[in-house]
Amino acid sequence: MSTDACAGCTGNCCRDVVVRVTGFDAWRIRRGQRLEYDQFVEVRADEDPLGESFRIGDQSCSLFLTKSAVDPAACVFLMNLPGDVRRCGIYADRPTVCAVYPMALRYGSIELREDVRCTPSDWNMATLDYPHWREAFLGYAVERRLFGRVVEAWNRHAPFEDDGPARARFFRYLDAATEALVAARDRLGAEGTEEALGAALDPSCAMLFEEDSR
Amino acid sequence: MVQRVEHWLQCREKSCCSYYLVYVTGEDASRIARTLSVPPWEITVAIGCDDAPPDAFVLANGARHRLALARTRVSSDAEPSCEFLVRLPDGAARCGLGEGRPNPCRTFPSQMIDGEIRFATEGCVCDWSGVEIDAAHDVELLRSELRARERYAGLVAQWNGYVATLERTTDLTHRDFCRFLLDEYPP
Repeated sequence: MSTDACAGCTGNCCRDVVVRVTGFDAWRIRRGQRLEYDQFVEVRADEDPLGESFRIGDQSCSLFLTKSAVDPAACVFLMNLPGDVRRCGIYADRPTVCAVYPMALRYGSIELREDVRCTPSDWNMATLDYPHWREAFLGYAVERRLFGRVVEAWNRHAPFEDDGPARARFFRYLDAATEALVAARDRLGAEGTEEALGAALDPSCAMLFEEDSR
Repeated sequence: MVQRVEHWLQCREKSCCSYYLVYVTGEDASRIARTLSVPPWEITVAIGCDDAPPDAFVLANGARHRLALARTRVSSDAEPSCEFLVRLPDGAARCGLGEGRPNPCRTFPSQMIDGEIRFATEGCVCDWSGVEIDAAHDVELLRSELRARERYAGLVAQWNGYVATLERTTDLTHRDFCRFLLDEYPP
């Protein structure tokens, strides 16, 4: 569930950080953990600079992981173990933004984020598995682009309605859209995946992740 | 009918994770420890026992213990529950180990007693009537669990034999036993 660099992790990246997730992340957690969206994700007013906000009522909103009821600073899925040790309780289904932490993409390659919350010396950049991290970033990029399309269509077509019904409608839409996209991705196979990854590699996409990856 | 894994995934209460103390083998303890990069002595406890089951290991002054997953209380008035149980704000619980959970949790509530599979649902609030159990799969799981327990019992006997040769055991701890396990169950 963790790399060696995470062996001494005290979960700082899962505390005091508000984790904005894509619809793919939320959908994956919902499916993997058999939860309803409102059990672990919050819809909050937020103008996402990357154009992934969706309209609920008259507000632009994003999806954020809920905080723990026991430890209000911590992610809802964070396990508190003895010895000030913390670990992710949904590691296999964790959001892609968490999977690429604490790296960033810079000029097409991987580097440690400047605002890293772990001890920088934990990460030996000389022994890092660069292809693994690059692949993770590309997967992240593809999902963000696709989610951008999903919310673009929602923002264009969704009716104006009160907050509650709009959220419920959005989640129904998110389920249907994500399931269709995942099925399409499965159908396209290797060739289609390559094409999708190629699209994610374009300069605007790479720049997007240099500016903000969380 | 729903499959047992699906039933487990959907189960909101996970009352079995509070009711039972989960006795694990060295294999479970070392595997979970390595997966989480957390030493096994942090995630398990040594529970004292009066009798001498095959997995009872000797610590200081000849006292016998069994290895169990550590438990915690989310609040002072809450029942202790498995340390790996994740509680959501609405009270629903999920296992933080997921696919990495120990064998006894995988086979619950099936048990092999005198060569037969029996259900032991004490302490569980679930309705199992609509749950489909794949008996052949259970037999496979329980046999695998039995093999793991037999291997573990052998190692515990080896540990106990070693301890018997020591002149002084007053500072022998659960941590020492866990280090022995890490040695015997390499990655």
